[in-house]
Amino acid sequence: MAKDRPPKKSGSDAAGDSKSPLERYLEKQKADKPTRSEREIAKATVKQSALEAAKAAGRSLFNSGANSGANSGGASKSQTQGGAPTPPASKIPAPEVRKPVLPKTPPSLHGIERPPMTEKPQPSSLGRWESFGDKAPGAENRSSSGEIDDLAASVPSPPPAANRTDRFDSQATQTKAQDQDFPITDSNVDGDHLRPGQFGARFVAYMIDVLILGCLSIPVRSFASAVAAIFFGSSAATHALTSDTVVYLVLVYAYFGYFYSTKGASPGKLMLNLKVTELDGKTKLTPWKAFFREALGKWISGVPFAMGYIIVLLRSDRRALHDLLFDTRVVVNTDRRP
Amino acid sequence: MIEATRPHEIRQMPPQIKIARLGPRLGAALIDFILVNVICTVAALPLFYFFDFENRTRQMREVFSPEGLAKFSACNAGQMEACENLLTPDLQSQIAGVLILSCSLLLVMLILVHAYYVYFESTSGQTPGKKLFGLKVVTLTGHRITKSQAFSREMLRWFVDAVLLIPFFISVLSSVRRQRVGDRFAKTLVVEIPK
Repeated sequence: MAKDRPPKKSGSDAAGDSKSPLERYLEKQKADKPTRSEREIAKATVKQSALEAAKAAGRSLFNSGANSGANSGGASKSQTQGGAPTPPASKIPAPEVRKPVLPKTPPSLHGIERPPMTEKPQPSSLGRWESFGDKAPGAENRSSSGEIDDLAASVPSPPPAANRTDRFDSQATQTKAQDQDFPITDSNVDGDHLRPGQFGARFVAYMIDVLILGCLSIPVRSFASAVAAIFFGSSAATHALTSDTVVYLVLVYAYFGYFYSTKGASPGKLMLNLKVTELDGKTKLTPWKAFFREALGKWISGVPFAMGYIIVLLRSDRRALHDLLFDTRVVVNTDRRP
Repeated sequence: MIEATRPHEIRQMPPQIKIARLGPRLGAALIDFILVNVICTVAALPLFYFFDFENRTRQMREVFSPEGLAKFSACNAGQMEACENLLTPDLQSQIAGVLILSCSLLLVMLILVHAYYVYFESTSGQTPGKKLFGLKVVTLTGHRITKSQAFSREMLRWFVDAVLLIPFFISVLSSVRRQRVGDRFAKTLVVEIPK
């Protein structure tokens, strides 16, 4: 019995001995439950083959009907004429007509063979885009499309949409197989090769920064007010200049401006291995940009029910409203080892 | 070490096509809104004259004038002589006729507004406002959108996205493709086309 089992397995699992049981299980499961796109492709192929068969049948029927009509007409004529009937003359071309009509590959109605993913019809990348221009595609377009096709060959083919992280757009991605690799992108999506900083890590980093700033602000404020009182005397102007808000803003400029422009990340972000960059994912911010991002941008994000922060959870590139406003992004720092 | 790249997210793109920005979209929406208003007004004027609203509403205007309303209130207070000739059958039929006419006018205008957007978006993908700003509505694959897609976009435009523009902003800002709620539902995009 034990000897009989291995041959019972399909031929593709012939080298299954080298594989781990988990791999085998996954393969079996995959074979049992084809993914959505594969199932769709299978359906489409079956449909197409059935359609071809139906067409062929219809054509052959039509042809045979025409031939039979011709035959009957000829026969009646021959009968009326009383001469010898000439069916072979009309019957001989019938198979010649049928031959090209038959489909090249007979429809496999008994078992559906799932075609591999590589046989998926890959549309040329620019071919679809020709519909954008109202004019017919010229020679320049063709040359550019050729370049892009070459480029497309070097790019690895994307796996099914289930791996996508864009949860809110999942409805859009659950479309046909040809829609899965979505070719239109945005300047925002250009950084998809980057690994965005996730919401939790950014939240914790900001909490650490706020803690540090709060601890700093107490001695700094008392020191500043003391210095101001000594040099400028006690007046409304010095009180205003050393108020909580002003001291905090100066601290924010010094702290974030220094760390973002030199290290690319504040201490809290450094702890969580994040960095704040421009859209390209490399360039560090200037001090003033860092200051306005922190002071103005985060204020704007927080005002409408913290919607600017909640957006982080919904976007696949994890950019908040203050990132969108200042064209920045928070990415995982891959230069340093964690 | 975590990989720096997510290859499945690298998508090839022709560089000249870009998702429409927020400003041009709002500008195009404003211009379309103005145009639709102008069209509706122009279409309603001959209807007003055709149905002779001026004369039809004269008696109703008398009824709803301060004197007429005073008569109503007097009747309500209990003066029986004021209650005579208050709602004659003639006036009732007049009111019914005006109501029916105004409803039909409203219906015509609604159809005009929706037809405007659905026609332009399903044929060329560009309403006049979008054409002015160089925008175009396409499917996710870059093709022309169907009539049903245009219709669902249109319905969600008025009933969801236009509610103080709050759903619009939340949806557009939370999407990397800047899709509004109607775009998400109909699986469409608004792109910028170079002139």
